[in-house]
Amino acid sequence: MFFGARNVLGSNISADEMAFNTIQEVTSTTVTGSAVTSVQITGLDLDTDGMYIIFVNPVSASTDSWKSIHMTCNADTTATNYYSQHLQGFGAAASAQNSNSGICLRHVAGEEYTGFIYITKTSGNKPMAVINNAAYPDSNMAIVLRGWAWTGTANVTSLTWTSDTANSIGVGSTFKVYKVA
Amino acid sequence: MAIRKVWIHDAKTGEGRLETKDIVLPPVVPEPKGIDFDKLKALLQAKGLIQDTAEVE
Repeated sequence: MFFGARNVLGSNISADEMAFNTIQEVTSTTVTGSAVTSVQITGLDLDTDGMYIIFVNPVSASTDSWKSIHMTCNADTTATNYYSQHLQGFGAAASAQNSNSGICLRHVAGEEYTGFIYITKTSGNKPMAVINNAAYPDSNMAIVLRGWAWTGTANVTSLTWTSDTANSIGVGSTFKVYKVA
Repeated sequence: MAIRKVWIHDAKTGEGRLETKDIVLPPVVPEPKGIDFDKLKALLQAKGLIQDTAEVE
């Protein structure tokens, strides 16, 4: 069996047509020095870049059994300007919840995480994100799928993740922003 | 509002720094109550409302 490039409808493919998009790192940051309440990445331009994929490895410095990290855009910290939908699997249990706030990530004491945020703009020019993250230790593994939306339509020039508990985003938390270019 | 620690990273310069800013904490949203399907299945079986799939087969 042969796999490879071939002509389309009998025409030759030019060099430009052979070009393909690549995923490029926009920026990457790691919290150092001290646990924080918020992480903010400035200097973004969602309207120009079209979409971001943000790989998130937060370190929980929370001592609580259930907490959340919210994601906000630009300077808009009004919780009710955001919506989020949560769907979680945890052992044989499943849960769902809608919130008039920008919940982004699960944040539980003693757990470790990895996940990604895909954010782009809808046909109505509203920033919307699909967020997927896994959490565990060991047999208490959980998988969480979230939808997130901002009611604003402005260009997203910064994103901020804020815990509902002070100083609970730990040292070593990483946020890596990529785009397709 | 209260003065809290924030990690700020500028994508254009690639530099991150620790700062303090006035921050309003977002609302605490309670953990969603889930359905445990193993327990639900056992409950429905105990009431005779469903059979185990293996028994049906």
